[in-house]
Parts: sequence; structure tokens; C-alpha cells
Amino acid sequence: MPFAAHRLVFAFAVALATAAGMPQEEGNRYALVVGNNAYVAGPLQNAVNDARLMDKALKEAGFRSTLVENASLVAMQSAVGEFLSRLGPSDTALFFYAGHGVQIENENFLVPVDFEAPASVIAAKFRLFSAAQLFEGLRNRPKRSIVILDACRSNPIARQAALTAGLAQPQNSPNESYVVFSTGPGQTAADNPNGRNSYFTEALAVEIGKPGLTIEEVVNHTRATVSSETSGNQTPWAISSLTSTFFFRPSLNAATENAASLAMKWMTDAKRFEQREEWSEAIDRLNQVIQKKAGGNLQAAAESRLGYLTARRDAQASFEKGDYAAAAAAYVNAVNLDPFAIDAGFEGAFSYLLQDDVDGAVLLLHAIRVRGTGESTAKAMKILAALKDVSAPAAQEVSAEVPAPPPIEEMFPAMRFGAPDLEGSRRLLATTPVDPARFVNEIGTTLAPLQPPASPAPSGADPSPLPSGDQTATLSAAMKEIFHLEIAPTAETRDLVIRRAAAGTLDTNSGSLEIEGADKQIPVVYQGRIQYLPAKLSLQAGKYEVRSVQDGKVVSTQEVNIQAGWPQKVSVKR
Amino acid sequence: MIKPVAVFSLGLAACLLALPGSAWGRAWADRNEYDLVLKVRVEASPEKQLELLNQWKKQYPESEMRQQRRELFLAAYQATGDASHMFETAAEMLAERPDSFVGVYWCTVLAPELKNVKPETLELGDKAARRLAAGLEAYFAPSQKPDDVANADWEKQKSAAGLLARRAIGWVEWQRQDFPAAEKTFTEYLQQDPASAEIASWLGFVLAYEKKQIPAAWQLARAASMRGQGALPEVWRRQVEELADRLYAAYHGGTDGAEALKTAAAASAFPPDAFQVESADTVRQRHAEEALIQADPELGAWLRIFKQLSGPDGEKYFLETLKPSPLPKLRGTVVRCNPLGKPDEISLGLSSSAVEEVVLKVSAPFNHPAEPGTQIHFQGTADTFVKEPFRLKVLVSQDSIEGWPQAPASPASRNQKR
Repeated sequence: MPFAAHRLVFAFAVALATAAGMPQEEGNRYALVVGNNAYVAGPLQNAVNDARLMDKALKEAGFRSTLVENASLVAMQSAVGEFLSRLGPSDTALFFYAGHGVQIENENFLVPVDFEAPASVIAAKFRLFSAAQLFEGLRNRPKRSIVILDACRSNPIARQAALTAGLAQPQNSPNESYVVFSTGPGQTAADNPNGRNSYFTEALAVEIGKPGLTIEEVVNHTRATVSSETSGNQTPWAISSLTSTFFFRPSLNAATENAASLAMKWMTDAKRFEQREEWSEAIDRLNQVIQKKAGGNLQAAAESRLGYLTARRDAQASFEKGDYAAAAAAYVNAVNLDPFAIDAGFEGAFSYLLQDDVDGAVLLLHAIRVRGTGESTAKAMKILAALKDVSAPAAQEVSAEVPAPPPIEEMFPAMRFGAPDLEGSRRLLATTPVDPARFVNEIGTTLAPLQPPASPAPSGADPSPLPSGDQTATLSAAMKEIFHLEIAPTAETRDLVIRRAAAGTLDTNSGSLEIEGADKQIPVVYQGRIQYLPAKLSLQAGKYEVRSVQDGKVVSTQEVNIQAGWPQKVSVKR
Repeated sequence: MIKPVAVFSLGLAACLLALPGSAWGRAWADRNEYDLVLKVRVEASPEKQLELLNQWKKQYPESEMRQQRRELFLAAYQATGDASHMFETAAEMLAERPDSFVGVYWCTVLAPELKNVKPETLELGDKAARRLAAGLEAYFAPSQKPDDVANADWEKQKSAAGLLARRAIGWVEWQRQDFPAAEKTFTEYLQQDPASAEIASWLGFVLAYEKKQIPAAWQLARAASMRGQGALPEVWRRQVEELADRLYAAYHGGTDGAEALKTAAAASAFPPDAFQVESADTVRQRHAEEALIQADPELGAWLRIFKQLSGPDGEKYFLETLKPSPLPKLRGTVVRCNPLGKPDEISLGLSSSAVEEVVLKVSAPFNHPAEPGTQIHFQGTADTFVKEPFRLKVLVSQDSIEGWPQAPASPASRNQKR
């Protein structure tokens, strides 16, 4: 496949995001999410947070997720057993683990929180949870298994038990599975002690939340983020045997999915089929791109590639039928359409030779000498040398200088060197938007959390929307320009009232306060009501302050001690 | 029938004629360099392409095609989603050729994409974006247009590149905490392209940093309202929506009205000029006044009138609102009567019993005065108003005054009783 076409493909690979036209899995999605922090030796800070974050992300992606925190060996075994028993043949199963992990003899084990280092490595195996056991349980059970292990953290448990930290490449991962490790085999990953979540899980959860990304894209994006944030020290790693496309979240609007994104998917498929020399399937995909009228570079690339693939298909068919003349003609056509298709050149040359057309073969061998690698040029020269006694053009070619190779622009005609890939940049921005979490958090910390809406008052209850204390404050606010009195219980009184209320003796502890003054215009505010002097208030026993307020400020206070049955009097003046 | 060999010969000959051999040879250091690049061309996996490109770079660091090599790096890094290395590569292109269209463009696009914001990357992104904005006409000159791109599409691409430049410039301003500049830049962006959820959310963040809660909530709500192509990823969309709710509630003191704001924001990039949301203080004040009116309607009514008259537009309020309509029922305390014997002007304190605020002009004088400190209720019509010292003159009839004291019994009538 010429780079011109596959550059388009891989340059846009991050944009392969579509559910339109693609079958989604028909079964249920089940997840078991385990996070272990509470190790006696080497407790972790973020594993439980990671599990919670992942549980939330998976639930939002439609998984029926079970969260298990700080699991003992028995708890892990039990949870996995229940998890496996729920899975049906059309389901997707996802297991996520955050915590310590070790490898023993290339076998992976997850460390339960009750693990204690035994005397021998063999004994340790029986105190750990075997990932192989999980894989075995998943084998042939669900339609698809996804296993995510964020278990390669710096690991004092491993040192203590003379085990190897980090995880090994799994030996028995199930069929139709996707296994993701937070870092490469044998490496350890950072727990991110300054953050709430590990770098890996934090990035993964964000990617899972993005609609229209395949699992491969989710992991690729996660890998790029983690690698960037750890300055290249940690690179998540995955192994896949999936044969179908899996989306955590389908596109937001599959019906109006961007035609070019769909076309990208088909271009990628076409490339894959071409590499396997499955020409008809590759052609089908390109025809889909063309019929979709994707426009832009994609459509142009598909149209330009279609002729080449058709020529290769025809050539192969003719060759297999023994029609070497037709095969040769088709190979020539293929080489004309993609002059860098060196293998087509050789196969065409052989086709010519099989029908004794040496001159035809020489022309193709010449083309290989122009554009082939040093190795293929040498191979072409050997053939030409063998032909030089029977073919004057071959002899001429052998004696001729090796032609200078073509310029790079000819090798990558779709690149438009010197001009940026405008379409590709738009796709990149569409699929990797800037993460707003930092700003949301920064701004959010300055704001109070949202309160749930107040429930309506039961019928018959006081319809007043505000408690009396707030009413008093409300009135005080409204009257701040004018001189007035406020009666406020002191903290001591409130405490007393509460205790007495609990004892059910409130009614027998009432007293009264009479406020006098010459100025009858002075308002007295208490419990959301206004009275004017002289005012008489019925109060619970306890200490109160009579505050004179002017221009919103307390200008003087008088303390009164209300006792049951004893009226108190205070006199005020402006 | 034309023989295949003849067709091939024609094609090949055309190829050979089109490409002068002497020029080709100069670019490649040797055949090995060409072989390496051919391997890159054939390789499908971007990761393996990167390995091969690095091999090429290591073996031929000064290759005549190092700028083209960087473009191949860019494409491979793009395929792996590695924005950080893409930016580094574009920066290398600019270091070698400051006006490189590819370098300028990608530094502009990628500056906001980098996870770690560093002053030097901001500097580079800013320079690149400004160079792109200034050079749009040259970079997108008709002569630069590829043959297979329509004129209209070329114009659209120019416009899109201009927006990308603005996006990067605003981003840099924001990250440098020059919030007013960022607000201006993002506003200009949205005036040109109001359908960008990303820029609406960025403008929302910037406004929130500037403590402009309601405009911020508007933009964030708008960003969250967008669905389909160009929408924020769902998990972020919800975060942004929640932040909009919280900003609204923090300003307004509750979530009532938030849904209306969201609906309006979904329909328009910017709030209309008259759009206002009451602040929590205003709401509290309104509730306070309502509570006061409920607790003491006469005092509440007076305080509301007093506040308006004392405010900056007091005279206007008096002429346009207060004077044309009858006043509500009010309560005041007599401070003095004029003339003392048969008064027709009564000075009252309404907020206080000591300070004259209102003068009642009675249509016919009373036969006797009221003692200072007497509380009366009245209804009337505002006549004149002086702000300093505060004095509102109200026209009343005797019938509209309640609480005026009964006439004291005259000595003669007392005598008669005796």
C-alpha cells in the first residue's frame, strides 16, 4: 500500500470513532471492579479511589458494575466467582483491578489486602489471587473479555516476600479478549502520590467517557497521556485477540456520524485486507468509502487506490488460472498505478517470463531498479544478468548505471510536503479535546456544592419558607437603615433549649421580657416579627441579648437572663 | 489491441520524462538513505514507522530531507495520538525555518493540547498562532491552493485556520492569566463561529476566573447544551453543566431560573443586552422587603419609597412613579405642627420619630394640633420632593388621616356641663 494512502489512514487513525453501520454487542455488559489500598505492608493511597472512579465510568458506559474495596483473598475469590456466574455467551465482561500485583514464575497474581508474606514462594501462590485463574474462568464464557490491571505499582510486598514486582505477559489470556496493563511487562507504575488517582486510571476513565472511541483508541490515547505525564517512564501496554470492534460508548449521534470518520474506518480495513493480499475485501471497503462520498483526501485516496487493488486482484486471479499474459498485463497496470509496488513488479516479471516475454520482464525489472530498495535492485540485477544472453535490452540494462532513486515527493504524493494536513488536524481536535477537569476543579473549589431542592412543606405545616432565625435576619436586613432592636438568644441559651427540648420540658420554662422606652417608633424584631415599644415577648428560659442596631451595625447590647415565671424588664433609648 | 508491454512502456516513459534524474540524486545521501525511507513508505504500523524514522534520523541527521522527515514524524505521531511529540517536531521545523507553514500550523493547533503547560511552549504557541494569523493571506494564497481543492473550500480552510490561530492566542492569554484579553479573543472567536462547544466552555472558564458568574454560567451552559458533532465528550459535558449550575447558584443563591438560562444559552451564543439574573444579595434584599411588608406593611412601604427617593435616580422616581399615583397607606410620628393652633402642615418622621421626613399639606387646617410623638396613618398624593435635606411633601385631606387626636374639651363646654 503506498504511503500516500496509508498516511491518510494512520494520520487519521485516532479519529476512528463510529458506531454507525457497525454491529454493537447484543448481550449485557458486566464489570467487576476491585481496589485494594489497605495492605499491612505497603498500603496504597489511590487504588480504592481508582476503583471507584472506574466503577463510575463503567456504569456510565452501560456496565452493570460491582465494586469491591479492600478485598481479602476470600472476598476476591467470592466476587470473581459471582461475576463469572453471571456471564452469558453474548455478554461483555470487564475485570478491573487496582492494587499490588506480583509475578511468580511468569504467572501473574493480584495481592489481596490480607496477604502475609509466607516462608516460601510456593506458599505465597496460595495466598494470592491468580490472574490465570480469572482468565481460565473467562475462557469461552462471555462473548468478549476485557481485563484491566493497574497492578504494577512500586511494591514492598513483593520485596518482603522475595517476589517479583510488576506483571508478566499473560500466558493464557482468553479468546476474544483485550488485556490492558498500566505499564509494560516487568515495569512498575506510579501510584501518583500527589494525586487522587493513578495516572493510568485517571486517563483511562476520561477516555472511556468519550463517545465513539474503539477500545484500541481508548488505550492509545491513555498511553499517550500517561507517557506524557510520567515523562515517558510509564507506558501502558495491551494485548488483544479481539476480532470485533468494541466501543465503551457509541457515538453521540450515530445517525449523523461524520461521513469522513466512517470512511476512515473503511480505509483502515482496506489497508488491513491489502496487507493480507485479500484484494476483494480491500476493494469492497474502498468502494464503501467512495459510495459514502466522504469527500476530501479520503475519497481521493480511495479512488486512486481502487484501480491498483483491482489490478492486483485481477493479476492474482489470472496467475492462478495460468493465464500469465493477462496476469502480466494486470501487474503492469498495478505498477503503473503504484510505481513503488515492487512485489507487483517482480510477480509481473515472472508472469512475463512464464510466457517467454523477456522484454516485458526487463521493463518491469528496470522499474524495480528505479524505485526498489538496494536489495530488490540487486535481485532485479541478478535476473537481468541471467537474461542478458537472450535479451539485448536485458544486457543493456545490466551494463547501465543504476538509476538515481526518485525524490521523496514522488514516494509520498499525498503528503503535500510543505503544507499541513488540515483535515487531519480537524479530526485530531475533534477526538482529543482539551481536558477541562483542571479548570472545573479549580473554579469548583471556590463554589459551594449544589444543594438539593427543598422538599415541599407537609400540608398543615407552617407555610413560612424560612425558619424563624432566618426571618429575623431577613427583617434585620430590610431594616438596616433604621434604628431597631433585635433579640437574640446566646449560644448558651440555644444549648440549654436543645437539652431541655430533649427532656420535653420546654413549656414549663417560659419567661417574658418587657422592653420599654420613650420612643414608641423603635421597632423590636424577634423571630421574624416586628413589635413597637413597649414590647412584651414570651421567651424560653436562658440568656439573651437585646441589641440596638443602627445602619446595620450593633451599637449597644444588653444581656438579660430569662427565668421561668419571672418577667424581666429592660429600658432602651435611641 | 494494444499490448500490455506497450502500455507499460508509455507509462514508465512518462514517469522517467517527468522526473529529471540529475535532480533526484542530489537529495539522497546514498542508496541506503532511500532504502530506509522506502521502508517507511511500505510500513503500515505507525509505531514501526517511528522506529524507522528514528533510524533514518540517527543515520542521516543532516539529511537534505529533514523537514520532510519531520512531516513524516508528525503524521506517525498523529496516528499514535502523541500530541506532545508532534509539538516538539513542529517546533523543530520552526527552529529551522520560522515561517514553515507546517511548523506554524501544528504549533498553533497543538499548543492547547499539551498536558503540561510550560512558559516556553506557551511562548512558542503564541508566536506560531500570531504568525499564522498574520500570514493567512500568504499561506492560503490562491497560488498555494491544491488543484483538487475548490476555491470555496480553500477559503473555508483559510477561515478555519484563522479560528485556530485565535483559539491558540486565547488559550495562551488564558494560561498566562490575562483573563480580559482571553475573554476578548474567545468572544471574537464565538462571534465568528458560535457553534464551538470547546471555545464556549473556555470562555466560560475565563469569565468564571474573572468572577463574572452569570456570563460564565451562560457560556458553560451553552457548551453543555451542544450535542452531536463538535460536542464535548459526555463525561466532560456533564462536568461543565454542573459547574454552570454551581456558578448560577453561587450568584443567584439558588437554582431557580437555571433551566431558563440553559434554554436561552442553547439558543444564543451570547446573552441578550437586557439579560439579568438577580444576585443572591438582591434576592435576599427582595425577600427581606417582602418579609417586612408582610410584618409591617406601612413601614415596609415607606422603606421602599425612601430607598428609591434616596437613590441616585430619586428625582426621576419621584416624578415618574411616585407623583402620578396615590401613595400607599403610611404611618408616621408627628414631629411638629404648623401653624401651632390650626395646623395645615404636619411634619412627620416615618423611619424615626425624631427626624422629619414627610410634610403633610392638609387640604383644610385642623382645628387643633397633635402632640409631638402622636402616631398617625395617612394616605395622600406626593406633591414635591427635595433630596437634601430629605423632605417629601404630601397632599392629604383630613379624612385620609387616621389617629389625629380628638379636640380637647373647651373650658366653656366644661363649664356648661358643670
